[in-house]
Amino acid sequence: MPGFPTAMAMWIHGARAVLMKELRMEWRSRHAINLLFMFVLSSLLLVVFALGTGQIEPPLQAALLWIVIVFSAAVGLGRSFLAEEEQGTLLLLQVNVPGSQVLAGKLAFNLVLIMAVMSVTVVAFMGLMGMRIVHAGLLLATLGLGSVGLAGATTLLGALIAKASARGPLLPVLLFPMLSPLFLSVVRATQEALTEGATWSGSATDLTALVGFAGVVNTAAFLLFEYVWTD
Amino acid sequence: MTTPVRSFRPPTFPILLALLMAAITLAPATMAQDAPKREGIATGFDSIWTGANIPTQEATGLERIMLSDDKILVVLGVVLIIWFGIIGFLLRNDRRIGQLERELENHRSDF
Amino acid sequence: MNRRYTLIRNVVFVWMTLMILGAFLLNIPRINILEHTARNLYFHVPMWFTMMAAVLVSAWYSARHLKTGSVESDIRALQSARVATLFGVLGLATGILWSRFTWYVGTDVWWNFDPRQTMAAVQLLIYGAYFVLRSSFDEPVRRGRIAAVYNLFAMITVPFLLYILPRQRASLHPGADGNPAFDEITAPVMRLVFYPAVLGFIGLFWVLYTQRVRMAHIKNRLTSNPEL
Repeated sequence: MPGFPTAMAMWIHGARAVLMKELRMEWRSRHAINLLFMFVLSSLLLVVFALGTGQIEPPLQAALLWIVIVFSAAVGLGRSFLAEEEQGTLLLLQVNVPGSQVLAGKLAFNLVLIMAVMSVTVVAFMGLMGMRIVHAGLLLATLGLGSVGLAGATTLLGALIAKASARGPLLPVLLFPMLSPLFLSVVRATQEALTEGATWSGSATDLTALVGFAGVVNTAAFLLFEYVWTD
Repeated sequence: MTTPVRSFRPPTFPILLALLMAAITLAPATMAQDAPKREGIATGFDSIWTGANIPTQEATGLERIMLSDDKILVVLGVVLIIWFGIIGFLLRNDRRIGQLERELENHRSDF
Repeated sequence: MNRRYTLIRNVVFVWMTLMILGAFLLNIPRINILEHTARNLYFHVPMWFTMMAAVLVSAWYSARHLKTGSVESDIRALQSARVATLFGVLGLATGILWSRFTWYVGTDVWWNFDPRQTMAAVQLLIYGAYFVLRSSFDEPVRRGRIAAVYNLFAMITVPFLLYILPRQRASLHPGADGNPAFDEITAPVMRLVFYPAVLGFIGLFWVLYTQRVRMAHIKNRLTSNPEL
């Protein structure tokens, strides 16, 4: 019987195996990443067409940035468990890997996807809408914390939806109400990072709320996932 | 070989409880820091709410009715809303009981 | 017929009648602007308390359902969520009416994104999603489990609104920053009615919820499907 460090190392090993499998699958088809990029680009174009060429104020920029990110997350991230169910690989995974490791792997994969979407969106906003970043550190911290919270929520909800018999566009319906605290604080912190004279202390409360939200959502996801997985 | 892997589980429940407790206890402290400030202790209660500058006009139609008799009609409206809500709930219950009765009939005729 | 249920139901009905009489007949100190609408304290505020109680009951039975897998717990979680929705909607509607004709006279403000209003609205949206999620399952066992997971998962995010909302909008509610606390503005005679009103409405919740649970039991006996 190996000790605690060995068990933990093996847990991490299992989670990494799931992550690598997801990445490899994605690399072969590039389905999710193409879907996400197309969604981001087309919604951005719509925003730019609708608003014309005039200069847009930072509050509006922050709101639009996060609307694009959150909507593309709701569209593109619910797939991972659904694909297992459709391809019939679910049982294989259930037999070979314990639930918490599967969740950890899928969560890491979704985190990678969200971060890719975020970087594309931010770069596109800077290019197309003249977004000026005043406080880069604050913006990075906000994006990072936001993506962790978003990944935790979408991964567990994706697992729930994969079990439903009538799927349809369920993920946005389930996701948006519980995302409201994240959305509000992330938009406020981004506004702060985009306006002149931004400081860390200016968004201390928002960052605390984000840390708490990300922590609670992810631990709750691990706690509740067992009940979804052993079905 | 697989048993030790299965035996390790992230200690989620205690972490979750601790985080939620911390969040709920910290909230009032952070709230007080920089909420929109207003002067006077009862500002919100003895004038039009000062949190926003909303253009006001003369009381008209519906308002004149609601404000008469020291605004007792507002209380009436609130009580009526609650009463109608409960009536609506009871009506829905009624419909469900009707469905159950029909299902019971179907059940009987099966035998 | 359950004796305990009948007893509590009758007590609640008498209790509420007395409460309503007290609410309208007792003299209360006059405050400018508030006038008689101060009496709404007995009707609007208990809606919020009752909704909180119903939300907690629903969460408790969702957790129980995950632990034990009993159909009973699933029924109770769903039905208390239904009644919580009723009281949440009533709380929002009464709040809108009260504020519109008290603090927003002469304006067109019906909805002001008051922190508590927003929190109640978010909780109602979560329950809306919960009901939608339930309707997309055919098999009762799986439906109960997944719905319980969503109920708990979505609910724990609501407390974080306490951090963000009070900084965006000032509140009309007592106890919020800059407003007097509940103790300072509520006359003793009003507390005489207010606390019984909270108890009475929670009792009313219990009566409505128990009726629905009994109906769901019958439905389950008849069709092996507790979904009402």
